[in-house]
Amino acid sequence: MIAVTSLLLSQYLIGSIYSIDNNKAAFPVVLFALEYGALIYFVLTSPSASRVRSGFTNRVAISAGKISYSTYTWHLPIELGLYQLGLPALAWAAISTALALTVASWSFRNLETPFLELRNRFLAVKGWGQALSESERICDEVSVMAVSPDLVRFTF
Amino acid sequence: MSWTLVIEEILYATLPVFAIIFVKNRWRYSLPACLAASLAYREAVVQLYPINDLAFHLWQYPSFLGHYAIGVTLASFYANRKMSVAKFNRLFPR
Repeated sequence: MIAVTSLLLSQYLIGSIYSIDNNKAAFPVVLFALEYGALIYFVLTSPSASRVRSGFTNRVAISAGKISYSTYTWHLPIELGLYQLGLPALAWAAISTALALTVASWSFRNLETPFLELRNRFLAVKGWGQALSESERICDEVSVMAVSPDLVRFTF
Repeated sequence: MSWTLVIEEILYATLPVFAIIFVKNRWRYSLPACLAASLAYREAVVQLYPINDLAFHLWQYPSFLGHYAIGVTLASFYANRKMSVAKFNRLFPR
């Protein structure tokens, strides 16, 4: 709770100081990275039965983690495409979020999963199945990291 | 127009080499160094380029050295089982 509160508070303060141009300043982006890193560390070092851990390991969070790469890949063209329609801000945010998640789910099931299965078959032939299982086990255990796509993508 | 997908591709290409400087306890030096390098690059860009060119230059690889370093350090901790329940978390067991 402390980690999440400090994250939200500092993002609010940074937004107040730099406005929408905060990504054009030197400091805020690095600060956010440190905060998300601290949050991940906090969650991963909390007891497995704790509430904070279960907040990131429930079915919804794990599903969001599974489609995070597809969401990351698809959200920008969808958001920019819908932006051209000149919708009211709230409608644009709601529709683009819903559409990005829908497309991402479809993409995960019909594009990403078949390629992952192809990879598994290839690695099994090469005799790297054990290494793959170990890396998948670690990725599953830290699927909590998917809540911070920017950091996760730079991690694995 | 720039997109972090390009930076991610560069990361995958350089990660095997990048990870070398985080082996064992090297993160103690590599992590602060990468954070400092990232900040220095971003500050230099802010100082050197006009406001209209900032976005492009700030979305380049050196800007995210700190992000990479944090991610690799955490991944290294986790993969090497260095993440036992931290002291501060024992205060909030449930």
